[in-house]
Amino acid sequence: MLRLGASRVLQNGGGRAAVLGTRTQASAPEKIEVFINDKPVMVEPGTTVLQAAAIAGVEIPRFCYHERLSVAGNCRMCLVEVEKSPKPVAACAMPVMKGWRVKTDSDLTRKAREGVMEFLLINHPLDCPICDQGGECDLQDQSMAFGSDRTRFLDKKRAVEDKNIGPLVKTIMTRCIHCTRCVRFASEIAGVEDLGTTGRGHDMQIGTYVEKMLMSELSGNVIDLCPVGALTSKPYAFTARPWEVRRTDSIDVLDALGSNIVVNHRTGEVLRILPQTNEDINEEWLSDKSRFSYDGLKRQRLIHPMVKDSNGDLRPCEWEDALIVAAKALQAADGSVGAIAGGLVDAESLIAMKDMVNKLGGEAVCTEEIFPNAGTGTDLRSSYLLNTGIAGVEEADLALLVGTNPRFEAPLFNARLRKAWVHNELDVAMIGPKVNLTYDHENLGDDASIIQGLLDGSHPFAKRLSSAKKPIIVVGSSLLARPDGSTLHAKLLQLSQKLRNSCEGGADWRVLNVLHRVASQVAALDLGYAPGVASIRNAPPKVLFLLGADEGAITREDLPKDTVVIYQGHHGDRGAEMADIVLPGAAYTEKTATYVNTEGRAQQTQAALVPPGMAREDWKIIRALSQIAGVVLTYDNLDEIRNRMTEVSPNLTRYGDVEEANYFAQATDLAKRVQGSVAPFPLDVPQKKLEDFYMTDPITRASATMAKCIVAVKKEASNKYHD
Amino acid sequence: MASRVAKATARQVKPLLSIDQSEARKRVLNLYKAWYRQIPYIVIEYDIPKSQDQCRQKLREEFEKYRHVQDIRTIDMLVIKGQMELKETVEIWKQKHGIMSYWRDSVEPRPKDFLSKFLDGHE
Amino acid sequence: MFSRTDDLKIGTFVGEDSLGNKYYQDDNLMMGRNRWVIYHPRYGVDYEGSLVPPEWFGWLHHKTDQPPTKVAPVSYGWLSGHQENVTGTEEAYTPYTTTKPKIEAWVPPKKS
Repeated sequence: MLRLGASRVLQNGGGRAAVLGTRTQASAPEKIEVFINDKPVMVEPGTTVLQAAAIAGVEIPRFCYHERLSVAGNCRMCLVEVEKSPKPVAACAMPVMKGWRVKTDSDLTRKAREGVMEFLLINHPLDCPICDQGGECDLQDQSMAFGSDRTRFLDKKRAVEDKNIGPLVKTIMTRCIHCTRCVRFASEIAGVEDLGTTGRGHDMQIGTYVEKMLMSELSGNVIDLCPVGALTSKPYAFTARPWEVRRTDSIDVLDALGSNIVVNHRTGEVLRILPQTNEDINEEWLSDKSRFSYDGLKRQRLIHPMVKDSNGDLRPCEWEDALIVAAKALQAADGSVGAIAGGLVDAESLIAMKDMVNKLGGEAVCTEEIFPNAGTGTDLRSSYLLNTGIAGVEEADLALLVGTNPRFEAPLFNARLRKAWVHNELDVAMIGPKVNLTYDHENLGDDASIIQGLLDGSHPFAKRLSSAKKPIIVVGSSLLARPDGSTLHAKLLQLSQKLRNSCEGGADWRVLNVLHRVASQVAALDLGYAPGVASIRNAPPKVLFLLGADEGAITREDLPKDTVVIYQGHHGDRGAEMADIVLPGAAYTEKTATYVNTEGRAQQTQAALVPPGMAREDWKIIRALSQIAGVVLTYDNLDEIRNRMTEVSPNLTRYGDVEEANYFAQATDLAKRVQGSVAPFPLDVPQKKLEDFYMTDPITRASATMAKCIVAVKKEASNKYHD
Repeated sequence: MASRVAKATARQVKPLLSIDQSEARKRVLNLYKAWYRQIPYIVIEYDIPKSQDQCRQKLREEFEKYRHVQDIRTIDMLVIKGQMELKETVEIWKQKHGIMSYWRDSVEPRPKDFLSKFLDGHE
Repeated sequence: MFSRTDDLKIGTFVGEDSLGNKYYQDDNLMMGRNRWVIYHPRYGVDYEGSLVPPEWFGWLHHKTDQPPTKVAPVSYGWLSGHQENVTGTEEAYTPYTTTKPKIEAWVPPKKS
């Protein structure tokens, strides 16, 4: 993908700049007046006819035009009549001129559309009854609205061979109408130059030219983009029709961004997951892991409570039995109780767990993800949030990624960086291993001492940092998990504060951004969880509560033999394997729960299904257990527990809002006191290649689709057509 | 002014059966008596394991349940429903369990507190 | 004997099967009552129709007039032995689902 120059952005003018949310236009030129169906509209120069019509409230039919992609103008569906123009014009590509009178519903326009539709349907198969796009197909809808009611077609239809582009996207290329949306998405947004067109006219084909896989972490989005049924979802193939499914708006929890999703479900099963538009987080995209790992919700589930019998085997039992055994262990522990929260835990169960452990006399509540605790540690929110905000990245002009690979840790954040790189001249530099970020960036090396060099100005890149107008520093959570994480965090805090004072962004511009990997981390830190399991490892409690902790931060070997391990979660994974008592909880599609994403935005999932078998919502299990253990928690329903959450941290119930934090100066002062040296080993990230992306949590590890992806990606490594 | 409005609305409400409190009361008592007289036959014809005394007690209970009702139209509607019930009972359009269900012997009360709700699977 | 059959019949003895049940015939009685079986006393009152083995079944139900004592039944290698009705016993068939469950449960690994 060629990078657009700033000049190009300016040239393109208001329309595109408005869409991109950039503020490149210093002086807004005068607006011009056009008439859409004789209705006057004032628009900025450079606006296309289609956008002007949209402002006037008229929707022009289109196939190839998509507001987040570049304009191709090859489907011709958006032809409209413009007065005094000899031919109809393509509305998506034609900028309006002063005083134009556009007629979107004239005889000429309708005739043009009907003609285009007839051409499109010449080679489109009539297989709507067996097509997965049926019911949500643009071509189907628009041929009903604008097509001809009779056929003049006598020839043979052409047929195109289907391509195998991986285990996620199914291709039926005969249905393709060559809108090239997928090609543009792959090269502009996803940053993989795999898709393209070959041939011309009747022989035109979309494809990879040679057989290879679409190696992208965003490949599922071409399914949504495709206006016809040429690209459909492979796991969802022939499963359901769109009008049969129930839709529940929810939040994705498989990465820390909290992308908005729509869970499509029927008869107690999740059938598919689609993105929902949220300009501040995921725009309208969704990463493949979030989109396709829903089959993991149906496998390896914990559906009944289990208690270890005398042989040491877990046996299913009733809730009452399991809770009594657990409560007895808690009472016998006499305050020596600890809890570890995993990455998929919601804020409700976090607060319930913390309250229960504290009431029992325990203090060791911690999260599995490590975060430095020295200096201010987690006391000031600004030191562990993505302070710029996901959308705020688009304004930045220089990004320094430290010890993170956003492409796989947060694919949609990486898509934002790429968007800023393409449209806003964002320069990206990285300290860490050499990885492919889908855009050009400068790798400063993987030596942790570079950070010190940047701080005292001895590193050559420091000059560029200080001359940047709006720099950002994105810190990966894997860097902070290092033994010298506190030192590095303190140094980065000081560096950010220095840049913040010197850059032109002003007081509102935040430099430091922490990119978390798991969805529960910010909520847990807000609620006062201690990051990292060091306290548990140093002083093992008699009863250890694993709240969905499956990453193996604490193993059986770290604990004395007589420690009772209670696991509560929704999947049988490492945590359940080492447990003495297993309490089945609900997955994110099965509970109404609060999650806070990495920028500090509280959002809630909605229960689409009921938890399977005897599983229950997590906070209710803790509430019931607390009563049997004799330390009754005082909330009985969702409202009451949310009131309690509000007491502890009010931002947790302000849904949809980013609760900003601005204590950098104080944090920096305290950070200066942090002593420590930088460890000599290089900065590393856990997810370097595409195959590392797919399985990172219990849900994805249980997913057969994700396993297929890994197999396919590994096999693709031997494909000589990949570079 | 206010009383005029009240009068106007009162005039607009169409009575169901009774026009005043005393007439409604008469209807209720008539219904009660009809049921009362039917009780010996109900006990025999439906062959229920309840005595006449128990049935009378239940009858009184069912009427006492609506003692607080003051609105004439509501009373009338309850009387109409009671008559329908009586008709069904007299004509043996019900079965034995239909009569027995007045006692709600087999209905277990739903748990109220959190823990029993949780263990019962309602929460 | 009488208490088991509730009937008093006199007939000619035709034969005895492998289980010890005895078969009688009296053609003076009407069709349908003229052939009968007296189950072996060890069954007590727990006798039932499936105790009649297939070779006698045909004769008893007028499929054929030749009892197996006269015309020996043809034996094939693939014939399985006679099995009496298992309803009400441990081996009774209970239907089970053959569809895949929507949710696959986690099975904990066995330690012992």
